[in-house]
Amino acid sequence: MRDRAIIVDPWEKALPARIRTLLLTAPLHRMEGTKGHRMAELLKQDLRMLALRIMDATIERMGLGYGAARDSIIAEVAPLVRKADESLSVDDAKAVVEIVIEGLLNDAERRQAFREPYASVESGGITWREFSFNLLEEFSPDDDVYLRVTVEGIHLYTGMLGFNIEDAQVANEIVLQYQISRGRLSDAVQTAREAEFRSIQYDAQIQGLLNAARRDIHQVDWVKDALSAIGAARDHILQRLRIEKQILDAIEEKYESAEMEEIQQLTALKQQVNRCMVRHMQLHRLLISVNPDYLDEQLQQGFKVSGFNPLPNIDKEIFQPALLFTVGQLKGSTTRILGSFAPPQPPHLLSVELLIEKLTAPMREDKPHILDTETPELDEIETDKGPFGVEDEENVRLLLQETTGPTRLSQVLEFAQQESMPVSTQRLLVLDALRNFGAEDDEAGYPVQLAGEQFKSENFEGDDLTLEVRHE
Amino acid sequence: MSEELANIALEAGELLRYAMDPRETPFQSKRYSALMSQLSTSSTFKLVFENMAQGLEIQILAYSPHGVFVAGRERGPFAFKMEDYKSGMRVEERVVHGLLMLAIAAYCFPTVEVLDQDDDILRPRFTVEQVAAFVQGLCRVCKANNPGDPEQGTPELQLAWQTILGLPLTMSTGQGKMAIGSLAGKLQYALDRLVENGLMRFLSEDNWGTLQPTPAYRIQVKQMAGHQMLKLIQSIHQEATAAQEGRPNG
Repeated sequence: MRDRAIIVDPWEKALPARIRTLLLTAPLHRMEGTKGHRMAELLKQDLRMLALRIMDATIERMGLGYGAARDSIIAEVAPLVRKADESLSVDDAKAVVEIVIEGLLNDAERRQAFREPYASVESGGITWREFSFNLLEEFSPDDDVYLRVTVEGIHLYTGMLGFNIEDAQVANEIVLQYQISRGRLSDAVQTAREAEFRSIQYDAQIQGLLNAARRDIHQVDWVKDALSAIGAARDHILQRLRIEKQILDAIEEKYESAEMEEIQQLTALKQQVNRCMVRHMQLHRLLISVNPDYLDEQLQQGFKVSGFNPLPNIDKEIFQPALLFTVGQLKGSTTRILGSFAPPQPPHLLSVELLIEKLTAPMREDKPHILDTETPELDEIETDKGPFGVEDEENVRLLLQETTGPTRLSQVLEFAQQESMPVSTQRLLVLDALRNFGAEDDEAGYPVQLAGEQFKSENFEGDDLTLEVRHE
Repeated sequence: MSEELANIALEAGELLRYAMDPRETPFQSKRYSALMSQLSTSSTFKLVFENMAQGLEIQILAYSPHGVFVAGRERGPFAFKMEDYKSGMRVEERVVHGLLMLAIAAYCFPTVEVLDQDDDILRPRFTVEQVAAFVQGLCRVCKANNPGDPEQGTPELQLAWQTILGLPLTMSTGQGKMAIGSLAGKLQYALDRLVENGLMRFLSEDNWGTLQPTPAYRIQVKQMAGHQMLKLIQSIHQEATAAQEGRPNG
């Protein structure tokens, strides 16, 4: 007979984590499954792919800043929508991205958490539980609005639910060091990108713990859980900083023997590792300053009843019951409700001196609304030639005629240089592309989109653009 | 009195002035931001500020990165008066406006978990049309669940849902604007007040108005829900019980 005390059924423990991994994708499948009911324009789109691209672009921008501006994400993902369906206008493509963002925010359910029920095997029986999570959040830490992917969203994107983030960071660094030492730089760039995602995820996890403690100290056992987690996090971060320094040294060494193409990859690597380092330093600073703040919170909240949330459900506990009372019963409470949303009202203070001054002030003459001004006579004066000649205009026309399908501005400029066209022609080409980029659909000569990459040539540098000149 | 203390009092007064103008935020004004940091670094400054507010009968609701939130205490010189919201309202109109303020909060924060999130997390954009449909929907449910309730009587004897259902959904003025006599018009009026007080961001005219709550709105609703609402529920229940027992409430 087996001893029941030492039997461990690993699948019982593993199943909940696995099923939650599966459930994280449910909102994406639902979005895809119901797209036909929403807009005909969505039928040629894979909304799951767009959702993951939105999350990818957002996580990337979460690098060192607060998050991503909604417009920049829309501008980046809209070209992908048009690739799936070329008949869509730029505005339609943007609307499709908006729909996917709203889906990820769960706007249809007023941004409540997604709630997915699942069966869990507990004590030999089946218990139904609910997994609730958010994938994307819109937030405003200052007066601007940003998007950010939640910890669960990063889990979904990186396929890491059920894995330990700290372990994954260590594993990433080992792989990164190995790839750099072997000169496998393009693989290393990809690994460094994953490492950066891990550091963002770790940052979000720690911030989540601290925010939960600040909101309600009873959610976190400060002495047992939070303090030990913070201590472990500090050690983990210090170790990351040491390894990141070693990786940077290894990158510097590689520079000395690097070919031209490798230098670009090394620079990208260095930037990614630097961003991770800065994030880890900021997190470390936060963790060493956190204790006194939270002890204060603990003191302030110490008298709250554990597990009791003093906030009522405004809809079900206040608004709906109030509808069943008579107007007469509610009239005494109205002032209090309306007053809750009004700032203090400063009383008007009477100054006798000011009052007399105002009352005895001479009456102002009514002046006509329109000033009596003469329209100046305009003469045409001679000016120098404009910056662009007929030749430039003809060259630009020829260059655009040469393009077939979506073409990068950087490629057209390169071609112009190869053909030894003057700089003024290139400048006119760039200005024309920028004008069409900013123009409304009906005013644009041809559609222009952000290509999502930077370029640098002899005379120009900045965001690369994709031109789609349609030939009659 | 030392010159230093006099300066602290001056700056505390300045901070109070910023706090009383809800459209000011520390992100827009460097001075406001500097005074806020002083609040967290100097305990003397904080004490002077709080005492000054107390002396003026101003209640400090919350300190947040989005500013200091204050309200006038009842019967104090800065207390809210109904005329500050809208003058000349009849009882039933006043109650409907109060309920619509609750409805907007209920629509924006459908669950306790949502209300309890970080202040920075934004609630979704919504339209006046959506909130009007939400309110009408709930009132229709009340009507379906209480078919025996008489629909006639003096305004004060009418049930709240009956009064709201008695309003037309929309109505135009001569100038083509939404009339305040309609449900949508009253919602627009209430939301305009919230915009004026920096609690809502007006986004567009679409669907009778599209708006988004600011972090300050969440802070105010949390305060109201945490403090005022419990009192409100108690007072409503007391009034209802007193009415049922036929004794005066007080």
